[in-house]
Amino acid sequence: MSAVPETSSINMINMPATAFKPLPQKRLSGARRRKIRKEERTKAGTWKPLTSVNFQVDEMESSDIKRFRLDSPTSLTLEQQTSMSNLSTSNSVTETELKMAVIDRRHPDVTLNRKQADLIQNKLLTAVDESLLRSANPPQFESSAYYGLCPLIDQRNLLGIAEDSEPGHVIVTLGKNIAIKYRISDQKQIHSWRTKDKFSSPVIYVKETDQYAAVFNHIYVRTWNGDEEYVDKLKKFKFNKPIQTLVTCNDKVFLIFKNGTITQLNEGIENRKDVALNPVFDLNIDGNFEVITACLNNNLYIGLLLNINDKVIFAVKYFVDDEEGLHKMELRRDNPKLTLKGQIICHVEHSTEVHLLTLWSDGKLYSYNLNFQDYDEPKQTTPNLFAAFETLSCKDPVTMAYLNQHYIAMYGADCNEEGAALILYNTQFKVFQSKQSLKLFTSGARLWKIENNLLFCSGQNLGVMPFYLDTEQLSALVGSHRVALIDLDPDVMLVEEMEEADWNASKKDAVDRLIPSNIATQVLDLSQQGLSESTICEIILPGYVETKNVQAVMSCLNYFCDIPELCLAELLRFCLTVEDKCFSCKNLIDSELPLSLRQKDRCGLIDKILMSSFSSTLMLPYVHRKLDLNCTLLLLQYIFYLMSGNKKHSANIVTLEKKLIDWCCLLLDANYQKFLLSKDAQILELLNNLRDLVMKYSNCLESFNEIVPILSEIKKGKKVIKNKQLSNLQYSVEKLSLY
Amino acid sequence: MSNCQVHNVRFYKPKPEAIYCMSLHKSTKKLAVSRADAVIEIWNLKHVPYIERTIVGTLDNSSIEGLTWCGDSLFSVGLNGLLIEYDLFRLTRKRVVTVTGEAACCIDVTKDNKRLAVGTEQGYINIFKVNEDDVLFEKFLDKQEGRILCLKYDPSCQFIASGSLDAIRIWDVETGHALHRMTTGRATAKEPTIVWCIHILQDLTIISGDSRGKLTFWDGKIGAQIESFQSHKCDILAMCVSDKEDSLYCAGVDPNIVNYAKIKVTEGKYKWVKSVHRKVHDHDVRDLILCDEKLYSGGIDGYLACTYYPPKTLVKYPPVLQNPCITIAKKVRYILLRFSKHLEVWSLGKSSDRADNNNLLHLAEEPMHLLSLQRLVKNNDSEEVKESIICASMSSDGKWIVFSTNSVLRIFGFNYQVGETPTLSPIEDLPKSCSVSLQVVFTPNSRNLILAPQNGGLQVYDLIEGIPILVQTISTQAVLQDTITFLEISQSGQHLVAADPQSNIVMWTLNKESEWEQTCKLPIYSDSSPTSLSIHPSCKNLVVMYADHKMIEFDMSRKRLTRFSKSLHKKQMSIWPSKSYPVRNIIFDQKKGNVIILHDDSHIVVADPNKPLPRQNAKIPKIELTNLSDGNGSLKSCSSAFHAIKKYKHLVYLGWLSEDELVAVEVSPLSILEQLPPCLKQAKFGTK
Repeated sequence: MSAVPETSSINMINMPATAFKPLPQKRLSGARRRKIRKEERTKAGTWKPLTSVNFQVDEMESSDIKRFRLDSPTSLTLEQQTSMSNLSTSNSVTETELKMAVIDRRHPDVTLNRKQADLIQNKLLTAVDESLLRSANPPQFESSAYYGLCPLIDQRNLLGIAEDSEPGHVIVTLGKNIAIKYRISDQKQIHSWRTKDKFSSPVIYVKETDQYAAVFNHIYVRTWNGDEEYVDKLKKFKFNKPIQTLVTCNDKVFLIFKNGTITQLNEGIENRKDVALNPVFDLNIDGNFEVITACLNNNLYIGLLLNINDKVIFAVKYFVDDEEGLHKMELRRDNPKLTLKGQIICHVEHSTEVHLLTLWSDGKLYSYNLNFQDYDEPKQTTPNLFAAFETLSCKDPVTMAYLNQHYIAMYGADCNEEGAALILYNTQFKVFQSKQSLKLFTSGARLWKIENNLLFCSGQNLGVMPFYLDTEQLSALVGSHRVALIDLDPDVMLVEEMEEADWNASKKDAVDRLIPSNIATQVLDLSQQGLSESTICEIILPGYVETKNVQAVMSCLNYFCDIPELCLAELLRFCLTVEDKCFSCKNLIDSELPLSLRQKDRCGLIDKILMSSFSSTLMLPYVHRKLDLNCTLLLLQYIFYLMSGNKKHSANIVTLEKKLIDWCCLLLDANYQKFLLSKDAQILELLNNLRDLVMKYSNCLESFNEIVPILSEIKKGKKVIKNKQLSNLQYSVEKLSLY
Repeated sequence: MSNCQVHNVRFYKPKPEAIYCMSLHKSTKKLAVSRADAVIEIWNLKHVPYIERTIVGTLDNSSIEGLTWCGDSLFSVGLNGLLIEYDLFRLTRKRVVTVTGEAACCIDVTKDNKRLAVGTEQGYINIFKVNEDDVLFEKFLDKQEGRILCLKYDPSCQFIASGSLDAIRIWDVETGHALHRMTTGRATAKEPTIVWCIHILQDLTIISGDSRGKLTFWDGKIGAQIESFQSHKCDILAMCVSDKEDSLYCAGVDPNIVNYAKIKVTEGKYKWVKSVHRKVHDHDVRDLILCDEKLYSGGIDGYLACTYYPPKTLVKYPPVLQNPCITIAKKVRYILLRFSKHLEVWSLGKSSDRADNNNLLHLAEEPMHLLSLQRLVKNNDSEEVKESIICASMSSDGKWIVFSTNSVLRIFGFNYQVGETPTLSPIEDLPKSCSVSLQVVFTPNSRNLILAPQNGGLQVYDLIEGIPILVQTISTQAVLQDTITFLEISQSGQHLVAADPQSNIVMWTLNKESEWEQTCKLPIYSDSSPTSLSIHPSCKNLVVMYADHKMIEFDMSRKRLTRFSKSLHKKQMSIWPSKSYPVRNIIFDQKKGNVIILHDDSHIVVADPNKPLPRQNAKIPKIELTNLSDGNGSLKSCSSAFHAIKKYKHLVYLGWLSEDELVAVEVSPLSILEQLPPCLKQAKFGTK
């Protein structure tokens, strides 16, 4: 838009009562203005009737209306820093080695031999490292609060919850006559289905046919497309035998008859006259069982848990590698008074084998191996004591849901018998990871995992508890493990005694890295003493700095990954201040650089230091202490030089820039006060330059921001709307046809 | 296939003035809405709500904090401590009475419209007696400590309930003494609770909304609290109760409009319970009015929102000035934009035929801002303030600009050559008769100026001499009873049409002696009032659009309705896709003969009398043109007489610039949002 200078010149024309003024743009909110007016008047006491009062915008601070501006920039940077420090701490922790002794608690006299101990430790560490690499996942509840999705008619009437075709939606079969489709994100009802017949199973979505299906009156099955409101008039498939329920497992839908027969829905409908003639159980069980489903390692397991004649019988139908099989076993404990309180099919420890995990009323978790196909003869079903469990009260039923390989969710009465609790249980390390207390416990309430949400009955409401899978941190795990060991009564105990350093077991990476020859003797010597990288750095680096051995310093930087922050700060100071003669005299002929930084090797060294990993929280005091103002300025100038398009590194520009930005923030944070008070022209110029740079970058981000939605549209295969921004145009001419 | 170029003007960004107070005249369904800049808009709610007339603020009246109808006259009070009665014909203030006790922020009227009560800063409640032609101070009630923020007469008019800091009082009007004082309690010890709004029911139940967000019910007979709801997160500023006293709505800084309903518990026992809530505004809601089960709400965002159920409907009327606010000088391609307190002149751009990448035509010439014109006047505190503008116009050749405020009318000569500095020269010695006017229009040949002065009638001025010379005064008293709100001149300059809100539409024609002569008056359509009218360029027909979306086409030479108009009427044709907004402008396509193009806030409707009329109750084909020429292909299939185009939001003006160039002035909702203060921050799900 062209703001024309002509306007200003008009201002010159003087007129008695008319003049031109730039239009003010400030504006107060009405309530505010009203209050300010009143306050002002009362304060001043200079009220003259018949006048109109003019109010100054500046005095609006004392207003007491509760308004909050949106996020302030400071909070943003803080957040960033914390997240950064988190990351780097986890890095540094991983790199330090753990040495653990493994003692069996029940047989403390049995000392494991070296090999066994190694094996266990190795397993532990690889498990942890793997989970780090895969960034999977100590689940956490997203926030302490859960929210209600919808009110329930009655917890007992709730037939079930199923995933819908669209992500983020669930189908809640609230009662016998109604099923509602909800969007989880805003808890809106999207659609509902009603029937005068009675649902006797949850409404589920059949992916194969893109239809919805449910059982009615235990005898009919109807499928429909989803647009209908009443489903009574649709074609129904009548079965000869009564149907217990409909379950979905890995997009396949199974009919479960009251006599225990399990069959796929489509097959069942095709052969509905003959199906269910061969029941799983000989007994007349009439739907008196619970159904557990699981899809692990791409194999499906559908288990029926039958409680008959004081016996607990578990029958599982499995579909492993296109083979079907049926297996029955009795779940039994030595003490017949103990009852089964919860069960789930899942992975345990770090194996990929499938187990049935059962929770008994004495708080013991037992696991049954379900890998039947490996054995020709059905294996004797001896349970293994898996762990003791105290987080939830085992007097009441505990409901479980499978989250991922290492985690299950459990819902049950709180261990102090007050209210309920929802916990995330780590089946790998046998500890609970996160806990949400709920006020009201409903016995036998069920638990569903839909995407990243856990759905559960909370009083008269259906609660949604989002959880998220974050990067696993070794430190957190080690800590929690110890707690678990103290609290529980496990079979294996880990004692944190440094018995013997064993570097060979887990040093695969390090072996590949050749120690540079110029530092090799010293490093080997120290590492054989069992010192960690950081300690070695602390010992050898000051020596090299003292002797100004630039090559050795470079080698160290190349070799070590874990250099302590103190050393990094020291090295920076060294690089910035050491005399020119220490470096070879190849000069960079770039006039933009400060004079003292025009040596190629020096820059290379600084680059190397800047690229090392560090934690900004730990680094901050050292930078503050070790680097004087000149060094800081020099460094900032150098970073500025690199950031303004002079990067020589072709490797990974994103990581490089991220590091540079981190350093920049760090240096500014460390010298905040000095910069704030300084009136030095050089500093001001530098800060101005940096500001311009940041502006440039953030402008880029804006356009990136605009690109993101376009890209995602393209990805979805939608037509890109070209003229989205047109409504922002102040003026445009286009062709329009009116007829 | 495109048949015209449209210039989309989006630099018209009038400042959204917050709605402060509203008052409903129940029998005529006229809603008086006062805004932050002390402008009062009279909205007619009989059919589609539209602004019937606007009363701009005067110098000494810069704030309106309370507004009420008393019979047929409108009263306001403000922080300047004045009780003002308005003249709805001359659209200015009629009588001013000083209130005792400094600033006044609330006013209420008795049921018989005989007395007014005004609550003031210093704690006086003033009672005024309203006679036919006078407002007299009667008495004040006992002075109380602290300001009075709200007050209401009880239905029997014996008592007044008033709200102030930390307390609610109930007064006996007869004796002037307070009967009960009820303390509200505080949310925090140091912060006084401000009672912002109050209502008193037939059974003397007092309902108050306060700064803690609490809605409290009191028993006025014994002065005790009955019930209290933590209704809102923040101040409750407004409340309204249905006529049957069985439902109430409240809202405030927390803009959720919450409904409470009175339900019967046992025989003779009632209880108020929270019912539905609606979120209509994002900013503070300042006032709520119920009219025919429809809830009108207004607040800081300037929108007048109308919600009702069933069907669940929300219509929001943007803070756009009453027509005409845009004038186009066709010959020089200037556009005059009227804002509430200033004018802007821009030169429009020119396009080349080359299309840019995204269907837009390349701009060969950018639009240019040429002039901002405002009138600064010293007020009583010797501060310079801007005066509100009633009307403004620009001549077709761009040489003349005229505007009128509530104190003076000014005419300027304007001159601008490309590349030079624009110059503006005021015409110094205007004739005395040339005074404050409500409507102004230039003849298309820029030789004459026609004014509708405040006192009625029409004046015709000749501009040839460089100063306006009064050549004719037309008396309208006999034909137009109300204020002239429409003044249209035909493109040939031969016909002049004036209309008032009472549906009087009168036509004058230029006779051989170059004098205007009244030729006819249209039949009065008493059901509704016109929202826009326009004369066909061929001077054959006059098209009038009424608030109930009835369209008439009047043949001016034969002085009767055209066949098209009659058949429309016979079939009771609905020509509008959604009857929520008033029609703002009517234009004609010269190339297409009789085609009429109408537009409201969002739709453009094209009516082609040559095409067959659709079946009764047939839906009007609607084309959404959100992405420019995308949907143009689908238009070919339109065979019925009407079709609608949806392309704009808050379309303020549509007019021809040249034979195949249209100008569409749009106030984008975003530009309104941009100018608003931040709203109450509330944690929403999914945001931090």
